[in-house]
Amino acid sequence: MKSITNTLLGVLALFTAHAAEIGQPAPAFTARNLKGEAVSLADFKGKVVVLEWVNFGCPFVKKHYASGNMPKLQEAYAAKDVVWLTINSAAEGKQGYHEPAKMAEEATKQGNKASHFLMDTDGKVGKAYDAKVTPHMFIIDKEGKLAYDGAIDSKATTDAADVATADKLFVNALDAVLAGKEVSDAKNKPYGCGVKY
Amino acid sequence: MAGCLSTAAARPGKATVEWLASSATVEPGKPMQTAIRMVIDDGWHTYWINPGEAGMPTTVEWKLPPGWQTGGLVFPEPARFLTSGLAGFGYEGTVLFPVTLTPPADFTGKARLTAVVSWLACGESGCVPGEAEIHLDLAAGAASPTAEVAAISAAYQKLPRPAGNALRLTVAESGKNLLLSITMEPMEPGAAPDPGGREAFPATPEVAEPRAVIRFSKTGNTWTSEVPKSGYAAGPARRLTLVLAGGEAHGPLELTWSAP
Repeated sequence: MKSITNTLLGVLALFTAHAAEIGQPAPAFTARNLKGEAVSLADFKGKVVVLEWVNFGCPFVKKHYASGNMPKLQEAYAAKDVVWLTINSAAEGKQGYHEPAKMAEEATKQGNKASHFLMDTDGKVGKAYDAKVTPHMFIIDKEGKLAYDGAIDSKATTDAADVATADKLFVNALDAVLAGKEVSDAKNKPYGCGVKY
Repeated sequence: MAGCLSTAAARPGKATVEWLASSATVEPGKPMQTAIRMVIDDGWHTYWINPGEAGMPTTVEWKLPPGWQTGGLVFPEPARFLTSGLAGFGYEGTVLFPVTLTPPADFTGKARLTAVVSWLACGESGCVPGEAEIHLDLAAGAASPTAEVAAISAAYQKLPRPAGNALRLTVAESGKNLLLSITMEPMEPGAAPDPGGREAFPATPEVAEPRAVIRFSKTGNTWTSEVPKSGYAAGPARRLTLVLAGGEAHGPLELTWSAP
């Protein structure tokens, strides 16, 4: 019994060793956007970067796109010089995956206004950050350190009406990072559908 | 029949729900057993009060006439499952959620009770939200058993029972792990349920890591288990409720610890 527990703890320790930690340098990555161009985190050195994991078929993602919430945030923060990367880590053939041309159509239809939409089909970026669900939000500060890992907001529901009344966990964190202030709730449990690696 | 099936569900959600009553007539001021029966499509599951790493627990918005009381939806013992590599707790197939209703002491005539049930069904191909409005039509009178009374009674019987004084849970921190201990009050052999070998499910979210299976092993008079803390624990654990799975000799048990 104890050896099973130790193995399990060992496996979990191994898993978390690869995951990004708040206050630590955010893991480097390169992925292709929908135009096939290689995009690297290093390209945005000195800027605040947002990572948003997406799956347009997920009801929790639909809540934030149908309500216009996510596109509105993408636009508002682009105006503040934030680099916003929307990432899809679904493996080919799994729910949430579309090949790039189809994904571009879907992104346009949903009103996505990210700086880049990255295809992470082999899941490398997702696993480097331990992206678990969609939406799962990360913020990287100007020094390249991970400043936020968590939910878009406080109401873990699929109801678009809840967007207006939820605590804006991600927005509060992003505003703090932009103001150079400490993020008070830097890591919390994101809600959404599991990423289909 | 007193209950009714949701016909035009607001959102189908891979499951149907129905409100079952143990009696079509109810005595004023007296609690009555009912149950919400959820039948989930094959390959899908819905979630427990602690859904695990993802998912969303089933909730109910009650629309009851004035003076009616309910203890709310009660969750039976869950099962553990893994979906897209994420650990979750919940239900598959058919599940009955007991709901106790108490009419006002001056109840006469008829009443229509409404429940709007919301849930999330997930499977390997994704997640689908569900919502349905269901009703119960009851009349004042002496209780008279319906065809559903046996199923409802069985659902109540199978609910986790508080372990009371027989088993006491304590929780201590050990770095990134929690040390769970269950002490058994010395008593007649066989009188205390044996926690060994059965899985314990954490009903309190964000205390224990959902991927870790909680099982106890015995040292002397104490059962212990060491499990990783949830990555989202806001600080030291303040409270933890565990549901110990039922076994051959005993039904499921509920153990609660609160920080002193």
